[in-house]
Amino acid sequence: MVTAPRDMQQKDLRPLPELIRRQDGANDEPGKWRIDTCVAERGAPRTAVLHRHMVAPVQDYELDRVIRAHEMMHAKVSPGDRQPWIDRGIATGRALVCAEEARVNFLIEKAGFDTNFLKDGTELSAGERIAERGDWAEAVYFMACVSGTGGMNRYLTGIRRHKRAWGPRLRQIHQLVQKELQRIWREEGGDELGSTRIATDSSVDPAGELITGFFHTEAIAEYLDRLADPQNSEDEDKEPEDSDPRGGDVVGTTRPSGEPPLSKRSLDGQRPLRRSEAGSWAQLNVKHQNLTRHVPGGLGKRRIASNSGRNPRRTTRMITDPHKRIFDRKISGDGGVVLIDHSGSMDLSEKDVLEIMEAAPGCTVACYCTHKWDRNGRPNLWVLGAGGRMTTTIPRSRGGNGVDHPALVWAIEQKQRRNEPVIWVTDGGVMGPGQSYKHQLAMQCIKTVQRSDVLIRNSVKNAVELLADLARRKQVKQRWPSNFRITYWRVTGKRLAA
Amino acid sequence: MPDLTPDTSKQLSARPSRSNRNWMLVTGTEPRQPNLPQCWQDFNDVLSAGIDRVILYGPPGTGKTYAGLNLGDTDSGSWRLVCTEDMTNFDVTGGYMPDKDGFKWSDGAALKAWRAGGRLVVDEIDKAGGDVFATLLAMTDTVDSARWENPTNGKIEVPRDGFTAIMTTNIESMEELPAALKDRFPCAIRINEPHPNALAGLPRDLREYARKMADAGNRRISLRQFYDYSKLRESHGDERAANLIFGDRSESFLDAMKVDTAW
Repeated sequence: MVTAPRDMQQKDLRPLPELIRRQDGANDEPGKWRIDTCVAERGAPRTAVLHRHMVAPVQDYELDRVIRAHEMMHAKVSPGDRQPWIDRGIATGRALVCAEEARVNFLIEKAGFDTNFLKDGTELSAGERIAERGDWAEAVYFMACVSGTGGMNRYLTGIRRHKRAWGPRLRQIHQLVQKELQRIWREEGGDELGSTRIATDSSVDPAGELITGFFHTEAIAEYLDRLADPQNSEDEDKEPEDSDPRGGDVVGTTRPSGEPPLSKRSLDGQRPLRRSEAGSWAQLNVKHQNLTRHVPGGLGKRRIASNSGRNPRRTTRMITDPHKRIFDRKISGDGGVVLIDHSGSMDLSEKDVLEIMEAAPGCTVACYCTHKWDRNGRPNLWVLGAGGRMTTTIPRSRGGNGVDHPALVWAIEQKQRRNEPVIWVTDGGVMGPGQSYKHQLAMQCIKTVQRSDVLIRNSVKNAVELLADLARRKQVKQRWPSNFRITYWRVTGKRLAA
Repeated sequence: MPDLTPDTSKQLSARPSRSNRNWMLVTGTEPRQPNLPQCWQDFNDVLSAGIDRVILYGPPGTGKTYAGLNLGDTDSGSWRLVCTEDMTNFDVTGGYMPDKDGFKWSDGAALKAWRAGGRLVVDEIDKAGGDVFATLLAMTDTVDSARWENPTNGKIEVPRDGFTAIMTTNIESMEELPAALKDRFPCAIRINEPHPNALAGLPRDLREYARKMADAGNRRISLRQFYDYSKLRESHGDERAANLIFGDRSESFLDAMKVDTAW
């Protein structure tokens, strides 16, 4: 029931976040919060736990009341600082925001507030605008924001006005998000879903800055990212001729006009990861070994014939070459980056490094391994060769993997040219320090491999063969380790394309 | 709720009364309490170290006066002075009172504390008038400088060993206090939350709220309000109790509780 302004009593409706108890100590000290007022519209209310600042509407309407409860729930369960979560790189910032909205709305409903009041009249126009632009990713993210609120149907109406076929798919996404939240609530309890306990007891948070409940948000956000960017997960729908020359799988699919980019079959196969499947990487510390040994072939520079230049070194071509390429031009080798998993399950010798550098002159070779968090700066990635020189000292393996994904990102950043190959020598047994194999971390590696066209091989010997094939411009195929295939199948319901 | 405001100028027994039994009396030999809030731990440490001039300041209703009267070594007794603009030196040092034989000298709170070597607790020091303030400075001066001439016999009196003084105030910044006072009381502790033993009388579910709301500025909810709320809700339910105690803030209070206790 809505109270008419004339019936409103003089009330102090500013929320009282000072009362909120958290387990991470963020609101422990007694102290005043700054409360500012705003209109009851999407985007205006906000909460900053660490700064003790809340902006909320304070009029005596049910909508205002539920918005206040929403902001209070943020003060109760949301992380004070979202940056460590963004830095983990499991999900995008936008997905984290939207998944958190869904979790908070779910929790305030469980607290007894009617989320049907949560609509400000902008949902329809938002749906229309998003659909008109054909922005599927934003459509998915916004769906999570309004999931379970009174504004959801208006949003879908707006979507359907421009993209009729998107409606059912987005509604199904809403249902899947709610189903996942219900599952967590039922199986693990609200205490777990809304927990602000620091995950120091587990092996995923050495810095003590990640709160337990937000792992669920992160898992849903990662799920939303997959649904929002379906290109990477539509492999089995592709025709063989769509495949890229290397046998990669990152090619979009063509769909009839108006069809959502995410097929029903693809959506049905996707599932959110669980908190128990979450992991963390160690801090990456790079050490450049002394590169004392010169590798014959240097940077792989060679001369090729050219029809322009100063010194005609190939005069015979005046007769034999229709293009009369009598001059020389220097070109550098393909180079590339070879990243080697140097954990206990792999082995590496100086001879291996030499073979790689001979197969791809000028390439960068690095290996990585650790079984600790290495927050003290202890090296866990060693550059063994670069710029035509290599080390004679191969570091002793430190046992575990620990930094697979950070090392992979580092390797991709070392590319000098866009078409330089990045080869990752791994058996696919990626894991954080002191952790078992986690699907979340494996998915993070798979996505990066797909996005950056990294080629995987399971041994140095195979990597050398691959480099030789690349030098001969032969078509090469991706060889996914069995661990990655299993993870991808379990998480997305699809096979990784070779 | 324990009585946090004992009678003025009433000597308290060192033995805890029924109402103050929850409070731990500090003698300087107790082990550190692991869960004691920092401000109270500071106060304990200061008393244990033998500091005899302390200012306690901060929001009202956190038990500063009660702590002054009871915590530490109060075997020789505690005397309380509540400063107002209208009070005179009569309350501090004493004065002549009429009796059946004419006039008779009556000791003030500070003089009683001097003679007993006890504790003088001066409340609301910022509200004292100029005369009283000057006298209080003299009476709380260092032992070597403190002197007072008794008008009845001209005898010079000095504080006995063991005399201590604690001043309390609700001001938020020590800068607002006169320099002379700050000089005599170099140790000032801001008390920003109630002592855990004072919270122990509340139902378990309200203790943390009472602790957190004690220092919420102008949105503060005092410990006394929480005590009354807890009593009222037993007989009249949460909503009615909140309406009666928190008035126009009752809806915000109840909604905050609802969010905080959702699972």
